[in-house]
Amino acid sequence: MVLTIYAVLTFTFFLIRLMPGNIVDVLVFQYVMEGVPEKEARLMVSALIGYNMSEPILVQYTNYITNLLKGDLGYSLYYYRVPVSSILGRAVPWTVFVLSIGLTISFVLGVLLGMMMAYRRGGIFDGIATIVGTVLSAVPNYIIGLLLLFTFTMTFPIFTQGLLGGAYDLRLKPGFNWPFIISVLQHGALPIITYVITGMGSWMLRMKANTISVLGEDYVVAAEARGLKKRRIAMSYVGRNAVLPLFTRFTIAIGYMFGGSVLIENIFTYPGVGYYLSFSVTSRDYTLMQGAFLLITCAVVISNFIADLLYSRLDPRIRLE
Amino acid sequence: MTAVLIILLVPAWTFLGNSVVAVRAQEEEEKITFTYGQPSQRPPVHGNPFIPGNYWGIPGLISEPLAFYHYTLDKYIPWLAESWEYDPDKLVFTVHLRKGVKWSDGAELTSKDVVATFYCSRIVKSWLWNYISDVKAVDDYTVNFELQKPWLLYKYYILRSRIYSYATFGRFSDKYQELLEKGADASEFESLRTEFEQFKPEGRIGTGPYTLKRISDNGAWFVKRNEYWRGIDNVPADEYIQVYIGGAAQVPPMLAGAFDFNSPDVTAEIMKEIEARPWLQCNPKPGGFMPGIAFNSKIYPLSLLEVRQAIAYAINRTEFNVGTMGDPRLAGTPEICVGMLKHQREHYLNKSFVSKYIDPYEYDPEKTIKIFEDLGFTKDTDGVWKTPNGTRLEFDLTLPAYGYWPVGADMLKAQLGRVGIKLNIRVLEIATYNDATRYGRYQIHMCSVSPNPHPWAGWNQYFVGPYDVIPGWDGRIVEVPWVGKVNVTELTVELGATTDPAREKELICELAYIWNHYLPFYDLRDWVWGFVYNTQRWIWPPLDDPFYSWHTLDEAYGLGYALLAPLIRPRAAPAPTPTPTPVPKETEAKINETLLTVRELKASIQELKTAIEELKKAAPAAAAVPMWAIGLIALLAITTIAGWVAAAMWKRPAG
Repeated sequence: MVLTIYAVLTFTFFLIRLMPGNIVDVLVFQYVMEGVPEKEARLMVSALIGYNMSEPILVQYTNYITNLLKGDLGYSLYYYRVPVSSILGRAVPWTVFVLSIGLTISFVLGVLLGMMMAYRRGGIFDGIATIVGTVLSAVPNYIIGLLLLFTFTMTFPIFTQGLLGGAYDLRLKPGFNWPFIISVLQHGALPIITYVITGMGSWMLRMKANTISVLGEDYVVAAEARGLKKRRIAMSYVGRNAVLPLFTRFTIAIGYMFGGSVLIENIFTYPGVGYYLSFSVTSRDYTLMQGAFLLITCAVVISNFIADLLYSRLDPRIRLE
Repeated sequence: MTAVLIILLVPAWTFLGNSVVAVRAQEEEEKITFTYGQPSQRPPVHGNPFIPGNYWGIPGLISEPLAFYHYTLDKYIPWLAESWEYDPDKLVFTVHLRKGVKWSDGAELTSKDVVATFYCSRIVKSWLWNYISDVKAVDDYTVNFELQKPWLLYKYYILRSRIYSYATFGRFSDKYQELLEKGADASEFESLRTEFEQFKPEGRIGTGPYTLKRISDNGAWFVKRNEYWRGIDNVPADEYIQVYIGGAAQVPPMLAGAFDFNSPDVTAEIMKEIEARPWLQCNPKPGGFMPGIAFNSKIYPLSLLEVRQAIAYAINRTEFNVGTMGDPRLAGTPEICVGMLKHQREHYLNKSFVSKYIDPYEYDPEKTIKIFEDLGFTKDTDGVWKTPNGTRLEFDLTLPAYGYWPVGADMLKAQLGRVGIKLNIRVLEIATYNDATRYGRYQIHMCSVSPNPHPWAGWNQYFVGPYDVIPGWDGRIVEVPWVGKVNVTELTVELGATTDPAREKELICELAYIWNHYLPFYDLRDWVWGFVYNTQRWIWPPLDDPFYSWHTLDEAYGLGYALLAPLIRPRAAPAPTPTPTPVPKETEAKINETLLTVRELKASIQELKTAIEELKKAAPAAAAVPMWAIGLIALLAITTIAGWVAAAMWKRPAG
């Protein structure tokens, strides 16, 4: 696990420096256009943002790793020495908030609908739901996001406050007070609905396939032969076994969640990790980019690890002796 | 059951949210708010306004300028300065400050504040000090700006400077002057600069009528303070909200009436939506820059003047602009291409000069072909022209991947393709584009020239350099018919240093000719700003008011002045209801049904409101909690619900 994280952060460190363009040149250019000689401008910019591009890359890398071991992610280059940890610390809760709700609702809905589709396979409901599920899983989430954005503006203007972007009305003081909670929900509603709609399709289809395969198992026939109630068989025998592989995916999806969604958060100007990640790439804010990638890597690796542990706990058949 | 609960929770909470926010809005109805939607990412908040690109609100809200400059009327409006005069012999610009101006900490504005402001800009090596040699306080209300040399734009840049408080920044400016007096070495100045760049003042002391209440990831909230030197009652907005919201995301709130003013990239489709809402007003006016194409004239055959001119004749600018923008009102096709904005062309160039010396480059593809034939070019097998040495007229067209550029590139490719010039479109992500074009790694690239506030600014960018940064054109010695051979760099430098209006006009004509004839850049369009003004809550000036032209040329200062003067005032009468779009009968029936439901819901909301009021009274004030705690709790709650669902499914079957 540690090795994977180390490999990814090393790869990321060098890769982002190979990208054309850098923030120092942008700032130096501003100074040069104002008449400051380029050499002097470079010194000024380095001092201002605390980053010296002329340092050998291996020295930069060693410093980065040393600081990382001390828990220091460095300072943002674009945001003038604001700690990266503070920027990501502000962004992570909002990403987790909208994505966890969106993920959970889409998972629960997808599982229930998938089971219903399997039980009524070949019927009208199954036909329609399969088409809907296929379409939803195929359409990129930013398309749904844009559609929702325009629908809830032009046709049903009910999220006007949320349309102003941000995670809440900036006039409200964050805390456990009613207006703040409501404002947070209003601002998060459209991203959440987007995640629910776009996530649901694949859960539905997978659950349907799993349920159909479980329905043919001997223990289901045995349960029916024992005269158990259909509802009990569906929930305790079929559902329980069919959802197992999905639960692993769900756990992994929680890991990916920390990366947010670059496109959705930008469409709704929602200040999560994806929003800052996209901006850090555009502005070539190396330290912020590195911090965001490190966060995502850790979350994904840890969630994979948890998924492994969880699966063996949930499914006794693969439990290690 | 759990799933049903969850499904119902989000819409129900959102609905409740709307009601509670509506109740809150009603409670705050008395407050007059101005909301500005700015189409960009929030700039960094350093706290020190002398750091480049740093956020400090729009001019006038917290910190005010010595004077506002009204572009359209070419007039300075005295603000913190009462009057000023210039002595061309001594190169001294004297500014007399208004008496009785108070800072938000209660101190009076004096010349010490002005001197501190300019010396702090010197600490961070502001380019202004390439022209200014010293700033001295003559008395408490008089400041002398001593210039190193005559300077064309001295008044513009000095008077528009925002003044910051000596109480906050004085120790740094004093230290700098001390170092100057004692003849300190460079390292001492450098260490002062480093210290200054790390200085992030907590509060913001200003002479303006607002204080910054809060700033978040996408906006800032300013509230009116108790006292203001011009009388706080003269400022109509109790609070001012600046929302940073970029790209397509700003259009929905704009159309929903959430902004009082915003400045989106208006397209033909957005224009139609605006027109469908009579309470939104858009008054397209040419703005502060001109999109076009820059030639890298170091590369053969673009180094040939005739080739650049032939390309210009092959471009139909009207077709390009109308086709790209989709609406003739947004097209902004310039009648001539001289590197000057529309109002500058009208002001400086007379008709006889234009007709005699300026080539309008009317669309004439046959002329293009004739130029190529005269140069001895021949056509390749695929119809693309090639030079006598076999170089094909096939160029990379580099452009950034945003806005209308990609559509424009397709139009250019089609137009030039018709005359046998092949363009390979190279769309680059913005940082990559900047990197490529800044260091000359292009053949032709789409970009803008910004001759703001004076044509000199655009010419200076191309003719003075630095050439290692903008290498597109370096033909320094050129021929001007009525003058002879001139050095274009020297001409541009001279223009920047002239204060004689007659000489200024002569130089402008010469440089306009050079730009037009030698084509380092071909200006295809006068950028048209479609600023959008919401008339539901505010009364804006009539559409023919010069404010609109000023505003599109100088967005922040124009808006600052409009709020402070005030050119705009809150609408006393209730906001007009937007004209409803005709709806089919079936939809109307559904709407009526919905209305009935809404009425029932309203009754419930009233009950809810009462309950909330009771809760508010009963509950102790909520303590502020950190964001991570809220996120953690949300995550725990969701995980618990998910666990609950899972547990229900995993319940072991009996027997």
